[in-house]
Amino acid sequence: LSSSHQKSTHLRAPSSELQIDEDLNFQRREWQIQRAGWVAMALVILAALLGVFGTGPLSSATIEGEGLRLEHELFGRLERNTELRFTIGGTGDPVLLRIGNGYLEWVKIESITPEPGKAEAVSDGVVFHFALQSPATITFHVRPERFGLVSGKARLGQAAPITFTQFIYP
Amino acid sequence: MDGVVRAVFFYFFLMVVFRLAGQRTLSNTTTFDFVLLLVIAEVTQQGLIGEDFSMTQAVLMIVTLVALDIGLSLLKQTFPKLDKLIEGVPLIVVEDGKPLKERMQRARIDESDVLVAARELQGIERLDQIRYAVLERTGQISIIPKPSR
Repeated sequence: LSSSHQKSTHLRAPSSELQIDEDLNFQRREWQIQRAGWVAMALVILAALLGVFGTGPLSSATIEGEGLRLEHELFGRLERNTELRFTIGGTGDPVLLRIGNGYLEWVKIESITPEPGKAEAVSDGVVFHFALQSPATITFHVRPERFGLVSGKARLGQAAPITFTQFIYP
Repeated sequence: MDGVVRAVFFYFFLMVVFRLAGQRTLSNTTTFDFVLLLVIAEVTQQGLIGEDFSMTQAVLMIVTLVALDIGLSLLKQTFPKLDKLIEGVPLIVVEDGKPLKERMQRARIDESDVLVAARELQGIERLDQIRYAVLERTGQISIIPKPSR
């Protein structure tokens, strides 16, 4: 018998003439770790179903501001489109919606529904001009181009800005 | 969320399709089986990840698929009927050197398949040297030779 066999004599396999590198202590530890890993995987899946990694109940957020409401996702993914849905309650013709530069540096705007009549760059962001009859919904389809924590500012005309935060997974 | 749902859908979809196809269909017997497997993998990938190329999506997909596999294997241990349902049952196709024609026809294997397995696994030359040939649940054919005299 080899020395490694003698170490675990109480666990000796029945066919001890087999030349085999069995190590039941190691094996047991491996099984334990595997089981812990299964639990971890189950938790990850549960979290994903709840929306911790985007699209799910825990991921949707709504912010009420002066004259507008914003629905957005709390968790986004790099290079996957996400929506900012503004519901405009205020009036004004045209409706001016300003998005801060901070956010626009993080995302690429893929499309806006409805299309703004005009987009105007100002010192701290972009002002989008919409012709619409409030209440109405404006949806920005944006694609995050960096990952991490990003916060954005939006405001309607001269109203107080609202701040929203998203975490973008890599 | 959608990633997990997609992974679950494709897992069970593929399980049903391969189960309907039968054990022999993709048990890497021929080059074409291999090509078919590659094409299926490629097509599945599109539907599986969709437009989302983030690492998070890939990780979630892998975790979901592996977890399903582990979960199902645990269930199969507990419920033998489920095991049968998912994995199928073995089938004897040659007994005492005699091919069981109807079984082989139903399982879509022929004598040459059995002989290939016999040569590869046991170095057996002729059918009459085989005691049993079994189409296993994996799709492989296993050979038990007649005792040499």
